[in-house]
Amino acid sequence: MPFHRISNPNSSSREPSYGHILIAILAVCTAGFLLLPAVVLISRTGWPQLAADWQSWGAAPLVLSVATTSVAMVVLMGVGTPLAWRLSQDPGGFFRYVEYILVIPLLMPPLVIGLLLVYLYGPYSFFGHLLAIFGISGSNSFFAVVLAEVYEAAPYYVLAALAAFDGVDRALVHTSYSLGLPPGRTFFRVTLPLASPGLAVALSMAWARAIGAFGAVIVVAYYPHGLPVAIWVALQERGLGYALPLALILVLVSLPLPLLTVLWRKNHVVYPN
Amino acid sequence: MLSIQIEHPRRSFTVRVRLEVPEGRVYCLFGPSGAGKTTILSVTGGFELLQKGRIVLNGTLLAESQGSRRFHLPAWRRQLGYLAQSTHLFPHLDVARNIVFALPGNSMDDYTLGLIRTLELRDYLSAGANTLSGGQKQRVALARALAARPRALLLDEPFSALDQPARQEMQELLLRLQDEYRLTILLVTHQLTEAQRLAHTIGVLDEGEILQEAAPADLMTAPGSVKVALLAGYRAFLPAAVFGMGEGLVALHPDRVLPGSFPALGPVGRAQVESCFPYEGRWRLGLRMSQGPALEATVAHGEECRVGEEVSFTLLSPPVLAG
Repeated sequence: MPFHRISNPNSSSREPSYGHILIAILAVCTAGFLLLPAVVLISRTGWPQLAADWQSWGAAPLVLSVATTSVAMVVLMGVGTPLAWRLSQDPGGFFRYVEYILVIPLLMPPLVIGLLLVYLYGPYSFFGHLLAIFGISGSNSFFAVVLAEVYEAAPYYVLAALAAFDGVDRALVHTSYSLGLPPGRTFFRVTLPLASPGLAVALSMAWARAIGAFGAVIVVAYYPHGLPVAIWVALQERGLGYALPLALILVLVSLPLPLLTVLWRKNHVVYPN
Repeated sequence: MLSIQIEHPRRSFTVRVRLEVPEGRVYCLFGPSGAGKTTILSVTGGFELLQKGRIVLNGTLLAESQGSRRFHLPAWRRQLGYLAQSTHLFPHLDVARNIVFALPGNSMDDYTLGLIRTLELRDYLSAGANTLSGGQKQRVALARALAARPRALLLDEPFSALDQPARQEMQELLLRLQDEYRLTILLVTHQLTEAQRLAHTIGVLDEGEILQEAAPADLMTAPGSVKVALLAGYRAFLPAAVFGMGEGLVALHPDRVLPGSFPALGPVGRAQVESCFPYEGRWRLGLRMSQGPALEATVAHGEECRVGEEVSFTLLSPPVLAG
C-alpha cells in the first residue's frame, strides 16, 4: 500500500514557523552526526590500500563474518520467533519474567558477555565438556563466534519481534479462530504475514548487531578472525590506515540487508481496516 | 438449537441469562450499551471462558462449567460464525481470499459463489480489503463468515457503524440470506428498529438479565415492566385512572399518541403544546395535560405545530402496566 504524507492544513509551506526551522536544523544536525563517520571512513580509506588489504587478508574474515552471522540469524529466527510470539500472548507465570531477563544481555558490556560465555561454554566448563563429545569447541571456533553473536543479538531480535507480534490485532486472530482455523494455521496465515514487516526490522537490527559484534567475540574466539576482530588486529599491528579498509568492507557487507528491509517494509506494511 | 445458560460475573453486575435460539430462527438480545450483550456472545463464541453454565449447539456441548465439571470447546471447533461492528477483514488479503479464507484449498465452491452473488460482491473480488466502503466490508465479512458454513451465526452490533441506507441494505440482505439458508442467528443490538426488523424473538437485556422475551410485535404492545417499556421507546407513564382505565400505569409511546379526538380508537385527552422539535424527519410535540402530567406525540412533518395551543389527543391502545 502506498504511503501518503499528509500535509498539515494548519501550516503554510511559504511561511515556516520558528518551530519548523528548529526541527529542520535538528534533523540536519542529527543526520550529519550519523553520516559523518561514514563520510570519514570513505574519504580516509585509501583505495590502493583496500586492494592491498584484500591481498594480505584474503576473503577469509569476510566469509567467516557473513557465514557466522547468517547462521546466527537462522538460529535467532528459529528460536527467537516462537519465544517472541509466546511472550506476546498475555504471558503469565514464568514467561512474565522472561521479558525482563531479555534486557540483561543488553545491559551487560560485550566484554563481560564474552567472559561469561567462556565460563559457561569454554573447554573447562560442563557444557564445554558436553560439546566436546560432539567434537565442538566452545572457544576459538566457528561455533563460538555464532554463540557470541546469537547472545549479543538475541535481545534485539526478540524484543523487536515481540513488538511486531503485539502490533497484530487480536481481533483478527479471534476472527480466524471463529472461521475454524486452529492456532497453528492462524499463526501462519494471519499473525506471521501481518507481523512480517516488524520481523524484518527485527532481523535487520539483529544482523547489524551480530555482524559487528566484537567485544564478546574477541573473548570467546580470537581465532578464527571475523571482520571485527580482523579490524582490531590490523589496527593493533599495522595502524589505522590498514584497519579502515576492512571497516569499509564490513559496512558494505552489513548494509544491504537493513537497506532491503527498509525498502521491503515500506511496500508491505498493511494497515488495519 | 443454540441453548445458552450463562452466569458470568462482571465488574458491576453478573450476567445471568438462559436463552434458546431454535434452528433457523433469529434471536435478538436487545438492550443498552454495557448491558452484557457482548459478554454473552464472547463466551458463546469461545473467546472467554464460561464461568458457570452450559452452552449446547444442536446437541453438541460447547462449554460447561458446573461444580467440578468443566469443559471448553476451543473457538475454532465451535463452528460459530462471528460478525462484529468492526469487520476485521484480513488487511493483507484481497476480498476473494478473505472470503475463501476458511475453505479447503482456498477455492470457491458453488455455495460460496451463491453467497457472492447474493451479497453482490462479484465486482470487488480482487479489491484490497482496505479499499472498500463500510457497507462493502460488512458484506465481505458476512460472506466470509457464511462461507465457513457455521452451524449458527453470532452477530455483535454488526451494522451499527453504517449509515442509515447501508444499514437498511445490510438488514435486507441478512433477511434474504436467513430466508434462503435458514440460518440460526444470535444477534446483539441496541437499536430497537434493527431488532424488530430482523428478530423472530427479542430478549430485552439490562444489567446482565433478560427482563422479557417476546416477539417483536408483542414487545411493543405488551411491555412487561416500566424498564422494558422505557427501552422499547415508551416515554411517559401516567396513572391509568387519568383515562378511566382502572389501576396501574398507562405507558405512552410518542408514535402511539395521535393528535386529535378519536374516541373510537382509544382514550382521549387534552393538553397544551409545550415544545415542538424535529425528530427523525417528523415533529415531536411536548404536551402537558391540565392535571400536570407530560407526554409526547409524533406528528408528520408539515403539520402545524403551535407552542401554547391546546390540543386533543388520542391514545392508541396503550398498554397498562402494574404500578
